[in-house]
Amino acid sequence: MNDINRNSQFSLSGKNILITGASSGIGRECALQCNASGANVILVSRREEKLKEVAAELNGDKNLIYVQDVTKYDDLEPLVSGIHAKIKKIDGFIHCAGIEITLPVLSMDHQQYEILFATNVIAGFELAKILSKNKYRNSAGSSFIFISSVMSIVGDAGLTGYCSSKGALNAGVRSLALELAPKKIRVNCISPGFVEDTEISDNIFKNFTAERINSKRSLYPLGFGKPEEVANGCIYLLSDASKWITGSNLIIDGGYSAR
Amino acid sequence: MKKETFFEGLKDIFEIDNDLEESTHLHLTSLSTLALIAYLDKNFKTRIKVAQISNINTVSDLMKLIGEDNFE
Repeated sequence: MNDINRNSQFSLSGKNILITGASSGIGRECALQCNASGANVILVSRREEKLKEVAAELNGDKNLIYVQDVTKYDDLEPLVSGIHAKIKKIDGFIHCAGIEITLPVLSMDHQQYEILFATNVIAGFELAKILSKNKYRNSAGSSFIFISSVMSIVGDAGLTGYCSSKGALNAGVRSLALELAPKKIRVNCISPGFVEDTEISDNIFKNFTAERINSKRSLYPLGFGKPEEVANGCIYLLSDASKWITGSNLIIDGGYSAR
Repeated sequence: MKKETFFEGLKDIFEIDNDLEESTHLHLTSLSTLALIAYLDKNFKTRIKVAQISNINTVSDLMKLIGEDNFE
């Protein structure tokens, strides 16, 4: 349990939180931090070994792991059904599964756009659809979070596909929030700036010179972020402390977009 | 791969309108480097690192990096 008191409105004590992309990076950190804030976490990822490593760091005996490629859409309802049968209520959902492709538009092909949208957008919205069905939804209310990116509100060369997929999340979330409010489901985005110590950042850095990394870092008044910065935002949006917030986009970017 | 096909691929990446020769200089930017790495990965199944690409000046340099026996 972290510093947040179990009785605080910021506590996740007793909540069950479903997290995709939970085996690494922001998803992994969300799993650890939500669990530290009192939640039971249900972790979904394609990679079983990595999931087990995360699970080994969790507290409590009510956490679950599921090996699942979230772009296999037909498998998602059986997945949710299985989870619901075990834990009875799902209080929160974080769609962290995501991929990044940096290429000039002339080198992008339709398959790369489709891959980006499948993982970053469609899988998340499909899960939101299923989780909002009356047979699965928590009648007491729940909170859905989609991990977008600061690149959804600004642009950068080579990121047409990625930026548009994250922008689609922001736009979709506003409609989803309106549609699901009557079911007491809040829906929000978090838009992180560049977060280091993740597989995505490591892959990006592989293709960067030291000069380019420093140039990028200089655009962040507070430096690059860490996964826990994003996880803390998730805890807030999952908690009762944010019960009047829906359809929003929480930007956590170290000041990158303030310019 | 036929050299002509390779040259056409490079012309697309670097947006070169003129005919390409082995002595043609390639003006690499950070983005064209990424495009080139993706092209080589897709067409030659070879993972070239940025550091290797940064030493490339001409088409000929690039062909040597890929391995000249990959060309007809």
